[in-house]
Amino acid sequence: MFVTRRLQNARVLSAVQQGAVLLLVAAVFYWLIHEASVNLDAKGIASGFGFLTDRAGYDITFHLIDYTPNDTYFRAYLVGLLNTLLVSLMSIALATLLGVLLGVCRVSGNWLISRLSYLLVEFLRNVPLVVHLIWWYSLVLALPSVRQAIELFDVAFLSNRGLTIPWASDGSLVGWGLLWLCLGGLLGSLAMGRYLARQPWKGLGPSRWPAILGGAIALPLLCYLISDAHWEWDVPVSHGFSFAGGVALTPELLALWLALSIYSSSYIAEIVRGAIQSVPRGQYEAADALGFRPRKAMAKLIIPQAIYPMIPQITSTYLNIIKNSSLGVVVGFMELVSSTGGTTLNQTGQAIECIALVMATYCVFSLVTSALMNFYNHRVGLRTH
Amino acid sequence: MHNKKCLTATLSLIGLLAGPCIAGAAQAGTLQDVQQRGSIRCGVSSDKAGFSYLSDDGHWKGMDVDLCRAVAAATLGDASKVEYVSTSSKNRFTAISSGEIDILSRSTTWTASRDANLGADFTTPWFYDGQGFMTHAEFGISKIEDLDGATFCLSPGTTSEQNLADYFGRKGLNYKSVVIEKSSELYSAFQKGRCDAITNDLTGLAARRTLFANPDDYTILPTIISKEPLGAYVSQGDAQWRDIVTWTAFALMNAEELGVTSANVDQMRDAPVADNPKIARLLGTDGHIGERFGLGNDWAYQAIKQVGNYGEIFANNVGPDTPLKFERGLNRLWTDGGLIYPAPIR
Repeated sequence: MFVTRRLQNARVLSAVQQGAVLLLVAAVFYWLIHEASVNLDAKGIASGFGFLTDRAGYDITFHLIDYTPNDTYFRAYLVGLLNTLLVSLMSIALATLLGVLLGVCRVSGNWLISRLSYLLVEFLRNVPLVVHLIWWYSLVLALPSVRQAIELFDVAFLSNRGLTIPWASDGSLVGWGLLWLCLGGLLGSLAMGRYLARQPWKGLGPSRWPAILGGAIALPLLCYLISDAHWEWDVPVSHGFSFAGGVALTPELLALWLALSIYSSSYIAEIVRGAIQSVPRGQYEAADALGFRPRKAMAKLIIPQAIYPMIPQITSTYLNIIKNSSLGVVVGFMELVSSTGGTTLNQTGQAIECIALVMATYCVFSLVTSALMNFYNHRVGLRTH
Repeated sequence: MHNKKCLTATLSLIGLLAGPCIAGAAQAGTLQDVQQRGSIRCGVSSDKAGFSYLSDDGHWKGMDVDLCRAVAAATLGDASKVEYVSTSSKNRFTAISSGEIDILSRSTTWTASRDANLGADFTTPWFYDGQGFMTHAEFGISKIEDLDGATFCLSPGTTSEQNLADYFGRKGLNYKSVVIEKSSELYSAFQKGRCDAITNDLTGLAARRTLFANPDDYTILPTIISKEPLGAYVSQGDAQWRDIVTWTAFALMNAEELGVTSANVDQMRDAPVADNPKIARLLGTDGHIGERFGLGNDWAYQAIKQVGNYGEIFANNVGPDTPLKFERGLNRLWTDGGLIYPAPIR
């Protein structure tokens, strides 16, 4: 009886304490917001998000959706958001590829390979990201001018205006073709998912890669062929000040992509190395005893077991890539921070709203990434039953 | 125990967040703040030759800097009592509207939307400019229309960015833009050929070109596409401080009009009031204008004595004897057919 009452008292006390702190925090936030709005009123700055429907009046050269200065600030926000997403996804893909490669090289039995990869990782991760960025940007700008552009197989051009590559001409891919491709990819991955779900996780058995690649490539192709979509290449040609046709990866995008990927790959390499080395020695010996060759043992036994401890750390590296993409502002890549947090903020004076919008967007990006990675982590988690 | 630590941590965090707000909330008039602090915080651009830049010997120089120095002389009696704060084109209005700086003297254009939206008040035009274009000489371009399809280097949040969009949109011309915040990076990208042209206030372009390794490799087009009355902004809602900055600028312009220079100002002040009552009112030997502004009666005298009149400031920083070699142009006195028309001091 006495013990229960003490416990209850402790619980009540703790609830009261926590409630009081919560109230205090809420009160402080209320006061901050109130104070800010009073001060803004006094300075004649209107608050609220009404400005988002006004005409933006500034240009964003690199846009994934149609955009002109006559569009609204909200459209400019969407353009910035998509640019952030694009460079983040591109960097995540390249960083993962390079990182896994470097990480596996780090634990290689070959002395030269492991030392070289060690040196590279140490060099890359000990140089600040901004320096990487400025280095790559200077490098791209040091390329020849448009008129002396380096031709790559007569279809792509590398110049100080970036990399101009052929792209599907307007209307061919963007319409039905893209839809069919997506549908094919979706069907392919669904089928693979079902197939994989039936396979017990044992790392042995036939390799699944042919099946996965087949599903991801053959199915969209099939869909594309049976659809009435047509694909026409739009090959860039030198014209006036730049190139006509094709798609240009601007120097800003290239620099940001390379800098982010290469810098982050060094972190992924260390995570991969750590995870591989965390697999108990006994597993190597067991593989050896079962007659696995070292390379096969790595691919079939060690790496599958290393994936699980990797996920949380790789997640935080991915989150860092997304957040670090905001450094695009240094080289003038118009992502979220440069568009909404930069020019829009400056023209409208709505500092609090613009920054809140940018913060909320990054928060959503990060939470979604975490959720996806947690889901994946759950899927690849070691089954103990 | 653990809980208590958590509680303390939370509370200190709240304190940290709230502290600056409380400090910011207790704001008296800018003049009182400045007098108490003993210095003026002046927001400048830090790398615009002739307007605000650090000279080789480590002193701040330029027309925008001299306006701040004149206000310091008028309010504190000492033109050197200025703390310079570097601002970018992007953060300048946040700095002035939040009270982080007392004067924004950074070749900033006077526009309606800035006066209305940005929590800042304009004082008076200090320099009349217009938006121009600079391109690579090798292109052989002579008019703006030739720049159809070109890539432009731009500073974010400037009137140039909006003027370009308006002008090219109206003419049905296409362009691409590269927007970089730091002007040194921006001009270096232009020199490296990232952009075909750069657009900014004409004087800004000319000032920058003098710093290039090969100025002759770049041409400035003769056309201007906008009006750019440049001058100082102060934080909104402080009429007294706005008056002080505005009238200090007018005092320097009036001094030129009346022939009062830093060299002859002492002699002029000692002359009998009846000789020239206008000069006597300007220099504070007649009337109480300075006191009405909350300053000493010798406010204008100090500014002229320590910094020079408008004509001297122009000549010292951007005139024919400087590397920039600007003509007075629109910035001549109204008596010479220019736009410098200071309201009378009486």
